[in-house]
Amino acid sequence: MLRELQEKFSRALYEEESAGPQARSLQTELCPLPKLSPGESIDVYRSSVSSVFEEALAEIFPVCLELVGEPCFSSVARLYLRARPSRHADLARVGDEWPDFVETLAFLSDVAYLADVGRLELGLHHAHAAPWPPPLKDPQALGEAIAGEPEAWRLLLSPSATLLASPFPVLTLWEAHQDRRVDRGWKLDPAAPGEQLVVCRQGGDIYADLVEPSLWPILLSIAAGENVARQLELAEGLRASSRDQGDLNSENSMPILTTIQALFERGWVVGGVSAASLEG
Amino acid sequence: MTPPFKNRPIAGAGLGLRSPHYGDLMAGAADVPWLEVLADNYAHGDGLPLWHLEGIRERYPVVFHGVGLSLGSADPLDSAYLDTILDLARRFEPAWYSEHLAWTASGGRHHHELLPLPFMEETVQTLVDRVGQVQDRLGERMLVENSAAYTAFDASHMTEAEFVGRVLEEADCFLLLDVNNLYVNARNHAFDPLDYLRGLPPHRVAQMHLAGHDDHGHYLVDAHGSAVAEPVWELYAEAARLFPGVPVCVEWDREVPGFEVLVAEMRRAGQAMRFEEPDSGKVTPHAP
Repeated sequence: MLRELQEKFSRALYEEESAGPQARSLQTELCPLPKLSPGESIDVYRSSVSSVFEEALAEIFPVCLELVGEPCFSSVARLYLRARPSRHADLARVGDEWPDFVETLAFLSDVAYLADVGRLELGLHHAHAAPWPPPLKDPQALGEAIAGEPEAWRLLLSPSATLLASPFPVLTLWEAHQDRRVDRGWKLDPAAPGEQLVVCRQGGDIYADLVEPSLWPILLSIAAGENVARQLELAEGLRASSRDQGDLNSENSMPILTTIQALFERGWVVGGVSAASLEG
Repeated sequence: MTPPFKNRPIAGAGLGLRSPHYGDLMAGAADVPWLEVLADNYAHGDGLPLWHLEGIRERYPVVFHGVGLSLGSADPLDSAYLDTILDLARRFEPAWYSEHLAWTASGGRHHHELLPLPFMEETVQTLVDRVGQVQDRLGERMLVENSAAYTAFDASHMTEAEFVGRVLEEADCFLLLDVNNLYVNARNHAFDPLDYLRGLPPHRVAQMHLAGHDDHGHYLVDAHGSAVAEPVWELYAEAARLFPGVPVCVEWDREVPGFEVLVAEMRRAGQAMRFEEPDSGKVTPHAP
């Protein structure tokens, strides 16, 4: 009987209308309180569940909330709550599917960048809780080992890293909300190019950085678990392409090992693994 | 089995740990004797929240409190969630772990809200079984908290006080008596909270909670977003008289105020509990 009651209660919580058939069915199991009817009692719980989800989502996606305004954000949150049931006891994971969900909503098509801003904010949220690996014991030795046998080594992205390639200038947009330029009349340039970025945490600092085009395929390759030899090929290909396009500086591009060192320094890459050894 | 929990000195009035107060607590801005850690806030990853908690734990004794175990659910116990709590407990050694007499999930769907239970035999047995499973994993006894409820079930055939008493005795666990929840329920369900208090087994009361509620006119909601209301302080005075020396914690979760506001509430609770040191020979703090 307990199971049936709880299933009935659950269905009434997510019903679209407050006095729908599920709520009416549950009411038959409830007694009135002195000043609260069964229907009002159910509404107290419906409202409370909704508020918990909305507040949790608003905490994860503050810029998305600003972009669409509170009434719209609340409506989307209620739709999300019904469409994507929470499957984890951990409330911090409640927003994991939110960016993908908003992308499916036709009425949000005039804010097509919303999903990617959401992905950026979700990346920041996860970076907050992601572990920060201990510093490498001997970065120079690791670099030399990788240089000597690049096909045997894979680089490890930071557990806090999220890679995001957007057709919209999402980081520029997000930053305009951080420094309140939006309050001083800043507008998104509809012709502005898209952005590729990394969200990451280094120690206590959580940040999002633009990634230069020459680095992006290398980062994707690292994220895909490909070996360093593959990243050398990509770097070489990019240099050749630059030469073909008459870029006089292409010969001065960073060698791959210098690039890897820069990735370590930025905290995007935190170690390397080989078949024979484990570092980082 | 090695109990993951170590007995630590939890006595007097403490505070619920909230992230806006990390800085004040680390700076020792007030004499806070112990902290209640909402374990769910630290169950996500191994990043900054745990880094903060490590710093806090070096300075303060802590107890763990949870909201996500769904003790009263008809579903199987969420062993992955419990594993996470146990891992945290091994790492931070809280004096004890408490959860709610409520359910938060059904059919694999998590509602993230403390939902009401019918006070019937099946619910008692469900809770006894599940508290037993948790206590077996913990290697020691846990605390269960009386929850606020905004409805009542036709299927209930005992009072809340009888229900709580049955669970405490049959599961052999302790009570985290939430005085605000008791007051809210007494108002919403129209019963005498003093009768409830007098019916509780004193040897089972191990901790108390104080918090604010929202007054919606014809009903109250346990909201944790305001100061403890005067009638709750009055009820607490009686609870402190009936259960002398039981540690009490002030909770504040929404629109969390400045640290000094929480500390003032904590000090008032400490004064109201008329706590006497255990070595006075008069009163011994209850501890599981």
